Amino acid sequence: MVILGVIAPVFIEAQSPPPKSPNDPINLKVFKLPSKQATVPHQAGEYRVMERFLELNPKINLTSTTALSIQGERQDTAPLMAIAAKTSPDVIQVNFRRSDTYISQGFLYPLDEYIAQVPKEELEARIPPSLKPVVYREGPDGKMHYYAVPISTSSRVLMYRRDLFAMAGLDPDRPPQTWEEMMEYAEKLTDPARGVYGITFASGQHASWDLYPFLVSAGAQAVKQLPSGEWRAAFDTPEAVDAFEFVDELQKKTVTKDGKTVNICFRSASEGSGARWTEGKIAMVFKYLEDSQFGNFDPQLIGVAPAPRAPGGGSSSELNASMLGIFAGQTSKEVRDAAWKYIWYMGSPEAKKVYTQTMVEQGAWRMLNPAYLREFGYPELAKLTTPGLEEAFEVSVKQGTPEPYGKNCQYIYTYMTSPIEQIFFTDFTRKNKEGKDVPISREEKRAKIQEIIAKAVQVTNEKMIGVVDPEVRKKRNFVGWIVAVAGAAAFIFLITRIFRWMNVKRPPRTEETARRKDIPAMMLIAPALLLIAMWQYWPLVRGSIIAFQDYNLMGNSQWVGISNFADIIYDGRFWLSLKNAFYFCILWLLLGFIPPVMLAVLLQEIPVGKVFFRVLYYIPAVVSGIVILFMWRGIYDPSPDGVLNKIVAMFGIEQQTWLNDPAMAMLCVVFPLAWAHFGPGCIIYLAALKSVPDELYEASDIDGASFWGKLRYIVFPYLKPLLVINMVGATIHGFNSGNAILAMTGGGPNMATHVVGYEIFQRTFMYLQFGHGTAMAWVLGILLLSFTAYQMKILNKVEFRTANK
Amino acid sequence: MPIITTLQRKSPGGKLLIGSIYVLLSVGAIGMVYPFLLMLSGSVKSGVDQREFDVIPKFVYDDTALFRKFEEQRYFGLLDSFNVATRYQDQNNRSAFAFDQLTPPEIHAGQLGDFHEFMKGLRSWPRHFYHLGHGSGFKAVGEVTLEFQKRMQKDFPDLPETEFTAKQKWEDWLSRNYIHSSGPLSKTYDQLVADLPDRYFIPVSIEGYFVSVYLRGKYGAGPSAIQKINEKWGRQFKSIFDITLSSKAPKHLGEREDWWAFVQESLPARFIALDASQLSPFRTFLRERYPDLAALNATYKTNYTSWDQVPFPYPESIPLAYSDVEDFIKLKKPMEGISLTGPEFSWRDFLSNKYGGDLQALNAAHGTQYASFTTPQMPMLQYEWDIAMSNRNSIIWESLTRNYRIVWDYLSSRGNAFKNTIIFCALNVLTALIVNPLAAYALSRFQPRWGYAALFVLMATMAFPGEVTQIPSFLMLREMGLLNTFIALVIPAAANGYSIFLLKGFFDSLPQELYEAATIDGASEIRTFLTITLPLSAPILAVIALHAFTHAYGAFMFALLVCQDPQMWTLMVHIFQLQESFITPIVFAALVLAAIPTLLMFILCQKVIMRGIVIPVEK
Repeated sequence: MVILGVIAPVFIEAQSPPPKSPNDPINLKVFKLPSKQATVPHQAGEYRVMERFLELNPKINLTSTTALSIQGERQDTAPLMAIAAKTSPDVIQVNFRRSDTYISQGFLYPLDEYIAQVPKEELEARIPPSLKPVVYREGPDGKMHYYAVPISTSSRVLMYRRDLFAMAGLDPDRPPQTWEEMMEYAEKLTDPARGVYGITFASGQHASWDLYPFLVSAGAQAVKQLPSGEWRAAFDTPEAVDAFEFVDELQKKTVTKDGKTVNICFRSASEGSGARWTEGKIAMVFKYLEDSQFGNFDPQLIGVAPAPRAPGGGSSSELNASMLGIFAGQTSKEVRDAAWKYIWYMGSPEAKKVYTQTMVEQGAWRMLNPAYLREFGYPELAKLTTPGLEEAFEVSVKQGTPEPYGKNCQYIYTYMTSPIEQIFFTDFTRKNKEGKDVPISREEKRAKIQEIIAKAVQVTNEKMIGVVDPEVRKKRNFVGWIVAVAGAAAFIFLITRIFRWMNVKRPPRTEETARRKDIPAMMLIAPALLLIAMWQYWPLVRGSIIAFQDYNLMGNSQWVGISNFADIIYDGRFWLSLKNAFYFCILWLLLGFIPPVMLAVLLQEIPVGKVFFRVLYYIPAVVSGIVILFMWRGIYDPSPDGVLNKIVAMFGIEQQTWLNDPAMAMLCVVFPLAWAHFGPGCIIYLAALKSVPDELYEASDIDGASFWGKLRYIVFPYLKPLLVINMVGATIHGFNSGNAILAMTGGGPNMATHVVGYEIFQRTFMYLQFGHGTAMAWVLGILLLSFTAYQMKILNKVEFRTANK
Repeated sequence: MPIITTLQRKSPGGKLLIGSIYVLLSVGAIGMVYPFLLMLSGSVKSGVDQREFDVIPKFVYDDTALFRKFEEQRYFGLLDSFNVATRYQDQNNRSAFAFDQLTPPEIHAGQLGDFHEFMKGLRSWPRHFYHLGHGSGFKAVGEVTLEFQKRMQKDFPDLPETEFTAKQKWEDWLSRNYIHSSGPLSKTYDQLVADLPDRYFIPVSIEGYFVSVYLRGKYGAGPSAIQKINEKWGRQFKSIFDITLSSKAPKHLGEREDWWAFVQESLPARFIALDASQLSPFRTFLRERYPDLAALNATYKTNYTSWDQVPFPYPESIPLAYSDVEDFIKLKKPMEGISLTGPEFSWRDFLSNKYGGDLQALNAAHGTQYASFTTPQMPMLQYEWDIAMSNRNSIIWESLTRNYRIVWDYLSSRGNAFKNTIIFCALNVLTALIVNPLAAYALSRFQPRWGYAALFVLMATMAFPGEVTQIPSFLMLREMGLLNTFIALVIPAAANGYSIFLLKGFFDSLPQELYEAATIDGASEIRTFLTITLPLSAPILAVIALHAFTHAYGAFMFALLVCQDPQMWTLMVHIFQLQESFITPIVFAALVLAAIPTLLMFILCQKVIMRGIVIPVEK
């Protein structure tokens, strides 16, 4: 429960504006305002830029919606959540992959009226031709409009540690030029003795981000636009096979040095490679470089290079830009005008100048693009910047391929990641005559890869782009209806049964007692009932109407009848996630439910130190939940110097990859949750054990019962109702806790931990498919309701006793 | 009562069983506590050691680890500053690339002793020859900043903290653009400088700047740089770090070119002394630049009455005069008429004086082979190692407590955090104690026919994933205008089906005879409730209250969602926010601090909790 909090993005709303008078300031809400409390130079720079804007526009008052969410997802989820909660800022950040959704859902106000006033030359300087197709697009009205203004360009470049290069005997001024060289370098750079990896590649959700430079260098594309203007997934060409094959080799390649065999590539599911990279334990990494801010790194230590060339000779990487647009929900022209001023200012030379000056004042000029230093009056500093950086960036931008910006492309990474993982976990060996595993031929391997990615493209087209044959649609809806009717019938049946269980065996009452007792009873229950109705049922109903809509955040949601339910029935991911949730639940019962019972029995037996142990076991529970997960993620460090790997090494067990291993990941996720639950979980059983009547033991002592016998024939029957009720509770809990997943694995590796709770979270908060999300939540809710009903049935048969002894 | 009887305990088999239970429990307890200790140890770490998982932080017992941590703090995590100040080089002649890789220097008593003697004069140096270390680093706060903030709060209680942290700028004497401020706030800073012991100061190394920034920028960072320089300068340096900066323009043409470019383009004028020979050219330059004395006075904000009054080479108190000197050098190129000043040169003069110009005596004392008095470098690393070692205990103590002090300062300066938390917790406990027990009491005492149905209605929503209701709940609070109120924090979760269920169970378990007796005595329902039910229910009410407390205390996401005004933030919201601006170890420290109340509650209330638990048994 605690974790849910961290994950759910939060939107912070500014105070509602007071009534207008001509002299009142115009309140403009932006996504995030830089903080005065700058601990990092570039924040101070951003702050000065904002101050300057307010100086230039004294009538405008800036407020912000700050948002919190888990790292990595923030940029994508927070603005949408703000729109959903009707607290959207007036200026919204747009990225390439989301731009199509923003435009088609009508979040963005067309900028044509403002653009028309900008001189042509200035416009071309601010919106270069390479970015025009992204911002000048067909709107929901079928006409072309400008929707956003790029503020700064960024590109993914290869960064490498010069020091590690020098140590490995490589020239620190010469980055790898080709894929082959990159592999070779990575091998040389890997140094098990010092825990250094040659390169890093994300596993989990972000894997395809790291694939992209290879994909586009090979000459393939993620999506393509048909002449009709429609989009199709396109990552199944022979060139794409090159890229998938290469990254797979990169991830699997091992090298043996000093008697240790290690991977040359550091794979990490959730943490990213941040800390390891700054520590100098990773030699090469793909990272974004932004034109305004070259970053918080030492250019003398870290070299920058364009993406290495593919065998075909191509070199390209992701080109991106941060863009700003005006929120279409803002009805006041005055505020929109102010928003435009802000947007246009933020990317202006003036803003860049202020930024540059501040960075120089802060002594952080080496983080700047030398081009800025030259342009804004610091040529002597520009000369001191490390040579090569600027050139590498320029080349990378010039050769760059824009991040996919077609229909629903915010999901493209998810859909491209699953084939990467499938390939990674595919066995490319076969048995030879002696029964030994030998690698299959390259052709066979490529054919297998081709097969996997072709399937992935098909899924992408269907799910992401929504290419479903009308006939199929009809059939699905039909099945959807059948299932929905069956579900509703089951639901009603269940509810009536429960009510019947509840009403049995009540002694009939006279009307007089009913009046005397029911009325005060009603009055006392009313507050609780009302509160629950208002804060549980009403939001549930309100949220669930969405299950029958194609929900649009801006309003105008279309009724789609049963389609959402029909879709999820035919969605393999949903069923897989249910299956995984089942597995999660079983593990949770084994680790989270049973051990506290055993712990309680053990604690009950010891003559001294009960309280001491009780407190020790309780300690993890007092620490905030999310921290426990983050801490364990550190413990599960897959490298040989990871804590857990060091511990298992003491027992002679070889290095494990823990969360990166599909076979083990779920266990690794459940364990910390169970671990934190031991202490609190055992308290109730301790109390229960205390309340076992002494006579029962004494009687069995006379019969000469053994320890196990007493456990079996006295303790267990006595605890049984409690055990059953708690087990049902644990089951419900197990199915609902998808929140740990996001913090630990993000559903990976290869969907191994993708549970239904996480699927719902992802659909609702990350993809904003409220319709599908709520439909799933209802399916799950009805399934779990039967557990609740069962719980109630038992409750009906028991009486309560305190452990008051 | 334990299953194993007292008699059985005494038998060998029983002893074995009890023994193995203890072993089992202990192993489990280690498993419980070990990760927690890792976290405790993690909470006193910083960038340099935060990825090391250990129960006792290494810097407590390992001198090298302590040295690394000390250097990281001293240079606020900025490798650049460290490299410039110390010209650190490792065995492979590379400068430092991470604080956690630093190796201790070789100590030479002769050098160190002389340097200590030299550093004693620090306070008499020009102000720009040294600066304070231990400032603010990336997402962390250094010792000196902490002290400074404390003094600022004392001296300017009305100034919001954000104001002075934004305005405070660390001395950056090596930057041409840096202007040493002299505003109202700087008094506190100057007092701080006067009060702090010498070990917090770092000499400003222009030679280090020349080598680590200028030359490496120009010739690259790779191993080929030194070859290029040797070629150009006609020298035989083994590594780039052996290079020294000449005070006067060097003779060799190649070296001279780099020297001159550095002086013209990068070196701030405060480190450049104009010879007496430059007096008249400089005055002429000033006259060319300013049409008349009034213009100069206007710029300098002075009131000189004649050109001869303008101080030469420049008035230290007027920062703008520096740029005139810089321009003079750039335009008039008086290469031979200038000399550089800085702690390095003072150090060399000091040595020359001490050894009376006897190079052999110096080499003998320092165990070196200097060819002249212009080459000794400041043994900064040795000096710093020595400070770290001689102040070992206080540095360890500082490091152990720093993160906690940062968190404490942060939270206690965030106005209402403590107050809000207390109010929220109290309100939450109060409502939970009213709403739920009333409903449960009604269900238990009156046994209405629809009782279980009602209970089911109250509990059924637990089966639904919370995601579905989150946004609608927020929208409702918004529509009702309840955002940023304590009502919004308390009301939505005030009624809890599970609590009602537990309470009802407890009330059911109370002896019915008492009620019957009360009814016979003709006691009213309210009186019965007050005199019989309440006193007997203290334990379960304590449990409910404790739950309500922990829930309110730990809630941060919902609390932030509905109360976005920072004035309404509770402790946990602040701690959650703290993650944005501080590194993980500091966040750990915050959470350890935050866990203390919960843990105390548990330890103190254990007995009550145990008595308040109800257990279902078969009828």
